[in-house]
Amino acid sequence: MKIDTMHELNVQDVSNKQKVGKIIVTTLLYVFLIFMAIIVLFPFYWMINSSLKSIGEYLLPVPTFWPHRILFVNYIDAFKTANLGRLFLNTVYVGVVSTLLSLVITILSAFAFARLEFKGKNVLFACLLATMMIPGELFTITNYGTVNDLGWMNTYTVLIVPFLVSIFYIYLLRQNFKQIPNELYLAAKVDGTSDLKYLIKVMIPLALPTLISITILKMMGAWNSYIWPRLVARDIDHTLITVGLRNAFTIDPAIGYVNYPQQMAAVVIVSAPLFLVFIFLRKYIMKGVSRSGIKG
Amino acid sequence: MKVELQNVTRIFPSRNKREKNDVVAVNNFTFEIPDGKLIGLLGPSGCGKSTTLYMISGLQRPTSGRIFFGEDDVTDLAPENRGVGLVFQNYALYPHMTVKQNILFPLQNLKGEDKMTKEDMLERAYNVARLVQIDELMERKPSELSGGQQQRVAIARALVKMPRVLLLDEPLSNLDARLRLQTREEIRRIQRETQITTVFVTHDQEEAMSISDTIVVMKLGVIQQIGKPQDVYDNPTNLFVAKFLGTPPINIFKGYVRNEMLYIGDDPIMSVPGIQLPEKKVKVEQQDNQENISTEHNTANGQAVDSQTAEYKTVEDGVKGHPVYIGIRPEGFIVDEQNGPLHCHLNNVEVMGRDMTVVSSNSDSESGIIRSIINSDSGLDRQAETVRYSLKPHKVFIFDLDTEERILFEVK
Amino acid sequence: MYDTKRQWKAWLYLLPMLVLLAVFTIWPIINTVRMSMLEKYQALAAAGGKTFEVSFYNFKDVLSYNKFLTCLKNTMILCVVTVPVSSILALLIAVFLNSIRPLKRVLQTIFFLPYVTNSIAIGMVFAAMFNIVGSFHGTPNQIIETAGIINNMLGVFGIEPINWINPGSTYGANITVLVIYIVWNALPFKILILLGGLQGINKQYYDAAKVDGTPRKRIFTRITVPLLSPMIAYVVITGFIGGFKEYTSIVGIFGEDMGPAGASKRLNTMVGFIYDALENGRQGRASAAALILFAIILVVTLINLYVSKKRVHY
Repeated sequence: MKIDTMHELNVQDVSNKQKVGKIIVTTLLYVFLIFMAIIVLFPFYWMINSSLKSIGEYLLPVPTFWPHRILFVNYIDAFKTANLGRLFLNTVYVGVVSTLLSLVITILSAFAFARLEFKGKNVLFACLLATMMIPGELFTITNYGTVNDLGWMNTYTVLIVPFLVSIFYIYLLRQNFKQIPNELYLAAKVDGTSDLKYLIKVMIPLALPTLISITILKMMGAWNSYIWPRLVARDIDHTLITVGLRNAFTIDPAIGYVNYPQQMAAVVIVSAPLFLVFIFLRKYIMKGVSRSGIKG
Repeated sequence: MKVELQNVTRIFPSRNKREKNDVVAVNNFTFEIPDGKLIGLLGPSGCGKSTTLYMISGLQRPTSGRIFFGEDDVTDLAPENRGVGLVFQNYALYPHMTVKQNILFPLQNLKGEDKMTKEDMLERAYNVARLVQIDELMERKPSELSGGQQQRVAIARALVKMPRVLLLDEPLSNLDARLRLQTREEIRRIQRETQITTVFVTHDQEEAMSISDTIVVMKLGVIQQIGKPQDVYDNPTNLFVAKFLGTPPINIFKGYVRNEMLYIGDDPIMSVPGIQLPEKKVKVEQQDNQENISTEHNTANGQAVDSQTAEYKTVEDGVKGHPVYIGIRPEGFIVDEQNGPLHCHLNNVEVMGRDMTVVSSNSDSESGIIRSIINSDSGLDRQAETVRYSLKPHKVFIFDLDTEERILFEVK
Repeated sequence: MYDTKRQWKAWLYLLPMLVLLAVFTIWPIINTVRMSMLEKYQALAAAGGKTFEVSFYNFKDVLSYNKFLTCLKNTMILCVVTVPVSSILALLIAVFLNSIRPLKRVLQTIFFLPYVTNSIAIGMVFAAMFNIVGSFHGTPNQIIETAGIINNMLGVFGIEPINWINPGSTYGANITVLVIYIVWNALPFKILILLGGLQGINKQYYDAAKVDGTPRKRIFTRITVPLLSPMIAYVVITGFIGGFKEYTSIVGIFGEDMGPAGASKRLNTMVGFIYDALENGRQGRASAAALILFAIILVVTLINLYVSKKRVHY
């Protein structure tokens, strides 16, 4: 059975069509991607552009795409108006302390779940994972009362303690710990190394990338947290930056409007540390975030 | 459809931009695959055989050189316009489609003159499925099939659009030994029935030998030899080809030629009349007061003999003649307890019915161990310490020590 | 198998976590259920010695409460619109990104940028972009100082300025702005996950399709989408969960009034409702609403899982 094969093609013709088709498709791909990229970037550009204008220029009927006169003074004014210095210190303090404590708790728990043997380990871990399904608002209702009863309102404690445990981070780190070969642990046991020493000397260095991811995500969490701080810490000594930012800019009686350029300058100031983190530590953030995708 | 490669070269640029160590995967290939034949590209991993296959398919482009299908230059053509069918090493069956959907998939892509009606597609799919004997499995998903079945589905999917050229990339490597044997016969049968020009990549010489019309032996991007499997086996052009083909593998010895006589150790094992010893470049020590490089022509015939041997002794101390590699096929040995010139230490004997494998050793053997296949009733004394062999001249190949090229002699 | 000394040690390692968990996670779960079952429960009154009847009153109350139904509607609309839009856009972007070489890394970085932003802060930027400044609060002689950059850009296409978020704006306009912002915010995570999934697909499937001359569109619908379906399902499920918990985006754009001036709370969401009830000291109502939210998330997740089990390959 000699079969009839496919029709032969006019090579020159097809070759040309193929080239033209490829160019068209590639062009369309890039046009779409670049268009979307511009949409994604536009708010950032507009934020910076607006933050450098005078209020008069900001209010021009036809907006200018770059300030005629660049006013860095907006940043200084914004800093003062929104009391950003104080907010910044509050937030960094809360961020650093809660990250450190959270890391300790996460490491200890992840180690226990990854390496130690105890009754009910798997059941307990499954229960913990199940709590991740529950929306945080459900906890907030009671926690609001609890911290009130404990007399923690308007303290740093209230901003730090209730969120020290993150099941997700424990899960992440446990997975990472589990990848470390068990032989290393057994070898250490044979050498008489204590669990704690092994944890510090071997596990933590090996899991460093994950710990960095957790640190960054936790710090970003403190920086961006809004709902809880707004609820429990409203005095200026304990206001976090996002809450302060939202409430700082009201209608300025002198001009009859919100001072938008100043507001945008404050937004830039609040966003800047995040961008810095993004530029220098993008790899770790993406790893942490995409890991959450795998857990599925 | 005839397939022709002309001076095809493929270079993979090095990843490290500072160091320029580009990899030449395929180096200046020229060969022709006649219409309707099955060609086996054979070589160890990294020899460029898969790259060659992918260049024929169009998935990779040659760095230079041209590829022709029939009279058409297809070098710049995208794979979809070449009309090839490709069977991947891991089959690449779409896991979310049934066998039927997998086989129909290429048909549904056809356009222009090749476009088909739904009924025709189904008919064609079932015809091909019958050809590879999977028509019972059409509603299953690939994950529900055995390796051999998946392999057939992959072939069916490649065949169904009636490609002008069928390409198979290590199609049997994921199968167990028994299935492999069975499937390769199947591929041969299907190819014979369809008469589609087929190129088949493998690292398994037995596989290539058993089903190819022609084999192309490759090493490090360079073609070593092209020919019918039996011809290549009987007449390897170099040491690599000789070593690569044949099970059990060829036995390699270090020996030398003197006076048209071949020696292993002190045993004069065979006369090699008319041997064409190549011009040999001999590096001479400075204090010898000669030219740095002296070129001499060793014809190893009559008159020059004495002077030559003498010269060798002065040049390379302890060498008693022109040093060479000697390859002897396992079936090239004859047990000859009385007159056999080659003395070996007898290790053990494995009897396998009509034939037996005699394992012996000799200090000049490359691997230390010699495997020979001998007729069981050859009268070998299994208890003896030594075994003496005489050799079949056409099963003995001589290779240059440096170039590893074949050195010919007259076989009566 | 387990010696007691080592058991103790393990629990010691877990102790800090367990204590905090008990106080701030386990107790709240129990307490929320308890409060939701006590008729018109108010913590302050309870502390004063008041007792409450056990009933389903809070649930009935919440479900027949107009304000809650508004919140439910808003949340639903936002979910139903933003999840498909952002998922499809993210899928297209991820597939296109995966098929290009030059600029790939740069574009990938740009598309991830919105992930590391403060949703309140950038919400304020969006508000500024859509904001109309001037005295046009329904007065006959409106003076628009500036219509905002978005209206100006629309003006290029001859579209009259639209009142997006200012007093007197329509509900539809408000929701449109929210949808744009939420989609913008949701893209990076989805693109990251989908791109990761795409890179995990065996390239040979594409080679096989190419050899068979499969058109791009068909490769996308018949190969990419089915093989990516677990990741798509994941992105959709997390999208819905995130959508049902939407709150800060609205605060970012509209402020804590959750609506344009004169129509406050018009855009309130379920999470917003819970916090309002909490701030008013109505813990019973808040708990019931939180449990309803939980139930909805659970049901949506289960439906999604069920659908994807039927549709998702592997």
